[in-house]
Amino acid sequence: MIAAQGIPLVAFLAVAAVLFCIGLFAALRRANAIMVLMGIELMLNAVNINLVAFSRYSAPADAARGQAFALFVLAVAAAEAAVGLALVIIVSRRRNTIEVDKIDTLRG
Amino acid sequence: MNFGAVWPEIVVSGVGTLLVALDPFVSAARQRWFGYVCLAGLLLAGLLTLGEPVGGGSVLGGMVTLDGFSMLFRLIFLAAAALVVLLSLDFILQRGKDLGEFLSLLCFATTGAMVMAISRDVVSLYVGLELLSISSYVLAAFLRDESGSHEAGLKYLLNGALASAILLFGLSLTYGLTGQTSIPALTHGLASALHTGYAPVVWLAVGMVLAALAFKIAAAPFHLWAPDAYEGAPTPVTGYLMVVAETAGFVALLRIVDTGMGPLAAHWGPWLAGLAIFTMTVGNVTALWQRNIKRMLAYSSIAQVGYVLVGLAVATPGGVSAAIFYLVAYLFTTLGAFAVIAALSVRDPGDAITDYAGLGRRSPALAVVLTVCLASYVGIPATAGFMGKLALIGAAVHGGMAWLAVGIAVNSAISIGYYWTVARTMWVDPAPADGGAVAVSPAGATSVALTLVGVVFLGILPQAFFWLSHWAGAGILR
Repeated sequence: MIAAQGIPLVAFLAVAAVLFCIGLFAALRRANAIMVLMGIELMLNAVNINLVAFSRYSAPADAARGQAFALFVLAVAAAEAAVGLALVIIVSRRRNTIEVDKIDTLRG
Repeated sequence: MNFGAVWPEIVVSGVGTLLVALDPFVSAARQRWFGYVCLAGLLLAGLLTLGEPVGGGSVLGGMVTLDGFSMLFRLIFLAAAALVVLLSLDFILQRGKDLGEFLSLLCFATTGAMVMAISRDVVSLYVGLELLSISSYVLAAFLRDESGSHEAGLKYLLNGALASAILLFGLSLTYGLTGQTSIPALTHGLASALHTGYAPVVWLAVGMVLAALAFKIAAAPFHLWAPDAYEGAPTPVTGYLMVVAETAGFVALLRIVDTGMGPLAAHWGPWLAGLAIFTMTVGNVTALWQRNIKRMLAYSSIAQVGYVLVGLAVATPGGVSAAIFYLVAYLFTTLGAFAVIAALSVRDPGDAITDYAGLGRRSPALAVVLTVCLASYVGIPATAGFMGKLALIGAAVHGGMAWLAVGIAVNSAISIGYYWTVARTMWVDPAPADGGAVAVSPAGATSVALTLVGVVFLGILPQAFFWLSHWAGAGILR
């Protein structure tokens, strides 16, 4: 209870919401594949802040669930980033670009 | 801990691990054996699933439930995976690719889908979803030297990861509102949170979960990634994504929205109804302009998603069981069509509809099967699709949303336009001068025959499957 003393839950949630919106904006702008991946990572970090903050302020019986969920999210995000970066490397080698809008052989 | 409940998942992921471990030690000439090992593993997992007691209780600390729904969907995923293994053997070997690696990814993806089917907790459901999705991204990019394939993989990944992040934010809010991650506990928690002054947060959470899952099942207007991913992915993978990844998306919708958010059905029902009608119309109308058969079937699959959503939108037990029946019909119809397309593209990579000219004379058997599958998509009587649409229309009328039934009928009429183009090209247009009969391997022929039997059987004797889907959907709506 020491760390959270005086800081209301809504402050954590506000940080998470702002982080989520920044990430969403970066992902939807679709400028560059790395930027999209980084935007998605920001969104996942926002999720983790939410989960950990909620678990800090929840009943003791419910607290562990949020922390466990956050750990799963971290692990899966790492796997997703690894596959994502591998695909970006393949695309950049074959096409010399990672601009999402220029990767457009498939359309119709 | 009692791991007995998840033996089928352990077997399938074990086969995946075995294949990737043996891969470096098996010469290219013997790679075909990986296919038989994989099929044996999937069969064993199916038998283990059938041997499990169906209790509806929960095991593994409440993460897993063994109800009728988890049983039926495990078997659906195993059957779809086995059919995809059969139709991919020659496709992958002919291209000189590593079959062991391909099949192990397929096993891991299938494990993920099965974990989703048995999940009773949003955490295990999310982990299953990501195991399925991440394996699918790699599968879509498997022919990485072809420009379409790696582009499909990247686009699928960027959109799929975005949808996962939105889904997680919604789920983090439901955890904050209720302190729970178990789906039955969410059912009660969310309904009471609605009346304690947190209504806007409940709506935000429901909206984010709905939008993210609409992304995953490729419902319009969240479908823009799907045609690119489906066209560019290797043909067997396209069939797998259309059937397993979309069905798994519906599993998540049924568990999280129909069960977890069931008491709010009066609020999300109309949204799903709008999504259903918009999705089927966009899918069917856009499919009319396509010249590539995979891209056409991609839009057609978007339309099918719209039909299935009708069963969820009416939020009645009849609607849920009609949706489950339609998913089974869709499995056989889609994999039948893709078995034919994969057989034709083993040697010839062209996927243009004009490549099918004169197929009726070159390979009558393949042309008949593809025609039956297209008829099933339209909903011609004596095919699986007809029975599925009948069930959905019945559910819509009984559920007080007769306008959705009209939507299905009108859309089926529109869809005749593009399915007819393919049928006419096969049966009426002359074959090219150099076009001989298409050689089909035993594995490919088996997959074609099995799907044909499925489509016709469901169309003529659907009672057993109607009963099964009713049984499986019984506990879903809360």
